[in-house]
Amino acid sequence: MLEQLRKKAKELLKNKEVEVIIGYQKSNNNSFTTPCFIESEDGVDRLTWDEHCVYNLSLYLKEVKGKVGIVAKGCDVKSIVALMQENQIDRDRIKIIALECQAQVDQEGQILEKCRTCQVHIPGMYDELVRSKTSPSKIESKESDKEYSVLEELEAKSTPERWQFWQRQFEKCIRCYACRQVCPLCYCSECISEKTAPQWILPSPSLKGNTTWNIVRAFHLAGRCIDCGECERVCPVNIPLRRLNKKMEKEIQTMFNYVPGLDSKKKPPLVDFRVDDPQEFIR
Amino acid sequence: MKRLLKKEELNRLLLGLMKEYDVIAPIDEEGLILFRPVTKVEQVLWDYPNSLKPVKEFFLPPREVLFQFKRGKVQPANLSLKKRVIWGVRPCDARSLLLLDKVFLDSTQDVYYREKRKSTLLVGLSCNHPEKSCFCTSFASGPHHKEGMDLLIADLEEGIFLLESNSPEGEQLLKGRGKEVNKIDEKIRTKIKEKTERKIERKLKPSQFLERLTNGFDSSYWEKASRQCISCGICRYLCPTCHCFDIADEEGERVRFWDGCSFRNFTKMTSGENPRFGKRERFKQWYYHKFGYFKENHGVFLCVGCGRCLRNCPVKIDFSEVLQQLPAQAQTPAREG
Amino acid sequence: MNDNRSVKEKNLELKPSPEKVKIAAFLCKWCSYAGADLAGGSRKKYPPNVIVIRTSCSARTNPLFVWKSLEKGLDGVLVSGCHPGECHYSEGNYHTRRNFAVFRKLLEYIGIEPERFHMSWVSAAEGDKWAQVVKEVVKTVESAGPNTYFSKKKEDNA
Repeated sequence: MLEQLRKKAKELLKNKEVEVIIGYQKSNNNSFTTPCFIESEDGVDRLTWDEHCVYNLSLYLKEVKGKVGIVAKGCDVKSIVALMQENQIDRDRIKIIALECQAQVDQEGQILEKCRTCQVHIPGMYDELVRSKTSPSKIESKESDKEYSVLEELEAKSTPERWQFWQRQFEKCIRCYACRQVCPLCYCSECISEKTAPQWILPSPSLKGNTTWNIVRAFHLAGRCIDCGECERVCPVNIPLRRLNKKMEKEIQTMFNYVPGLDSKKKPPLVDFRVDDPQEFIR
Repeated sequence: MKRLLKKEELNRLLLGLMKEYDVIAPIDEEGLILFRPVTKVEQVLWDYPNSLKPVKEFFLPPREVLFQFKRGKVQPANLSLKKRVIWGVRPCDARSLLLLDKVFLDSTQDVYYREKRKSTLLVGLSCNHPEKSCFCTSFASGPHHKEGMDLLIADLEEGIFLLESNSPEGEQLLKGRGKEVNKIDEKIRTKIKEKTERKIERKLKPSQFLERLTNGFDSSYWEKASRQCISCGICRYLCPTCHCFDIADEEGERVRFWDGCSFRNFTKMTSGENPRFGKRERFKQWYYHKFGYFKENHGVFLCVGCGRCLRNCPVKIDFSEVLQQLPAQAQTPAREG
Repeated sequence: MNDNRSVKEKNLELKPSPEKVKIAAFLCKWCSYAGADLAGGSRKKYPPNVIVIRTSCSARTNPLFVWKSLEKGLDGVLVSGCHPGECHYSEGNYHTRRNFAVFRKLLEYIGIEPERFHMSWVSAAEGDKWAQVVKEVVKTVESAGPNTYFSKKKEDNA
């Protein structure tokens, strides 16, 4: 696969179809990968592909100008679709080298939670597709591997128990904003957390401010989050952010029958409506 | 003073401290290694690489109330603190406090910092199993350095510990405990120390940093080096020597809290002007502060080589490598924008 | 029902006391605000626990307003707008409906009692309905009790 990936990248650079390719390379101590930017044909040998390519590189699409090639997994392609839905990127300047992906693992070698329920091992949109020659499924499916099984434990709790759970989580937050910075869909040029007049979110890492920040972040991603799970991966204090995002995804799927990141022509659910939307909760 | 203590004797020392002081020690909190107030000896971790958050959080807290105000009345913060002991500090973190002292105690004294510093004893634990990301030996520190501590515990393995005091208070703690240290013990200690130092493979050559940084301010190198950076605050917040803060009023409290130069609004002014808007400038600032300006102003580098920035970077930027690869000669000026 | 109490006595019952809940009501200026006005104009009686905030459209009520009200210590929030199809801006309330259909689920998931958040459609002619809605909402919020989400923490700090 790697050979093919490098070959395709080389062609794109050679034919001047792209000026830069965003991909993965081995990190310095070789135990993991890191994002890389390749501008010349000789550089393509730096490209790598293995089960450590966890990053969602579509994050960089907004800041890299000009024609750009991007190495993307199925989940990353979903975020490119979501960005297109919101008119954030011009599809014409992007060449997607999509990779068939079985699963990614974290630094401890554990298969990422999101990969257990992955529906897009083969990406849904691409310019070039690199398929895996062997296709043994790495994931031994478990009984608990249903799409929203990650939510069950919390949903079964009582409301005060859930409040306690989340307060304990939010208490840990150090407000490093890595969750925001790593999210391809958090592209606001000025985040509401940075605003000072009025100051909606208390800026210091207090329980109140942390709770508000996390609620705002979760709701702003409702109907847009494509579940790449990067926020949860980068959180230095292990706040289970994916359980917030996934809950929003589930509710929106139930109520509006919408799954994000699949159709670039569709309107995101919270800027859209239907006259017969559910309203049993309204008096 | 040096004394040799067995594990049980060491535990008794810790238990004694708990009666007299507020003891803060590394514990495992839901999978995170953090320094937290402890009341039981069993909670305390002995075998851990280093804590996620550095001990600076007890001197420059993530959020600190400077004073409270209500309807025209100002209530100053209570500065008196019960005597406390931070137990199990690694040599790199202890050294970081000496660097912070230069900022908060040298010329203008910061009372909030000073009072916390004054009422705290540091009991260190030398490091026998450094991580791949550690590089303390490059910055005038080392896995067995006692600099900045009151007492250093060196693990001689097999349940024996060599305790070395480094201040009158530390000596007081050691008095009448354990037994004399003989030459053989000293030899074992030196051997372990050297073995550990050899394990630290990451070696930097700081002597050239200042000159290279001076030449490379406009280098296009920074454009390239900063490309992967996502501008989060992890490296800044988890760094034991980063000490930038912001001050704001929150519901009747004036609070001081951590801030970092990686954030876009760190340098944003009221007028809207932002001298460090670009990612490249913000990324660069960290290096220039630590290895340029601080060196010029205080004569030392603002880094202790704890490796937290490397370990916790979400996109695995190798900060030491970025510095190491800084070109000796100035390169072509960077593109605009 | 035979109620022999004087008007003064009845009014006294409606006075907010410290134990009574406080509710923020975000009302669209075209319908619900006018509806509340009508209720007042026609001397309809309803509990005085609501603090009315006029918005230009119910869609202007950002879910953040709702959370902020709860964060600041109010016990409940009511968002009210025109009936579907009657929005002054054609489709504002349809967006409100979707936003809050999702947001109330988030609040519940975070651990906020569902009794604290309410929505209603009240037109400018529905003074009666407004009084009724407020009565019901106050009752439900009261069943959830006072907002103590962040107050406990404060005591710890003091």
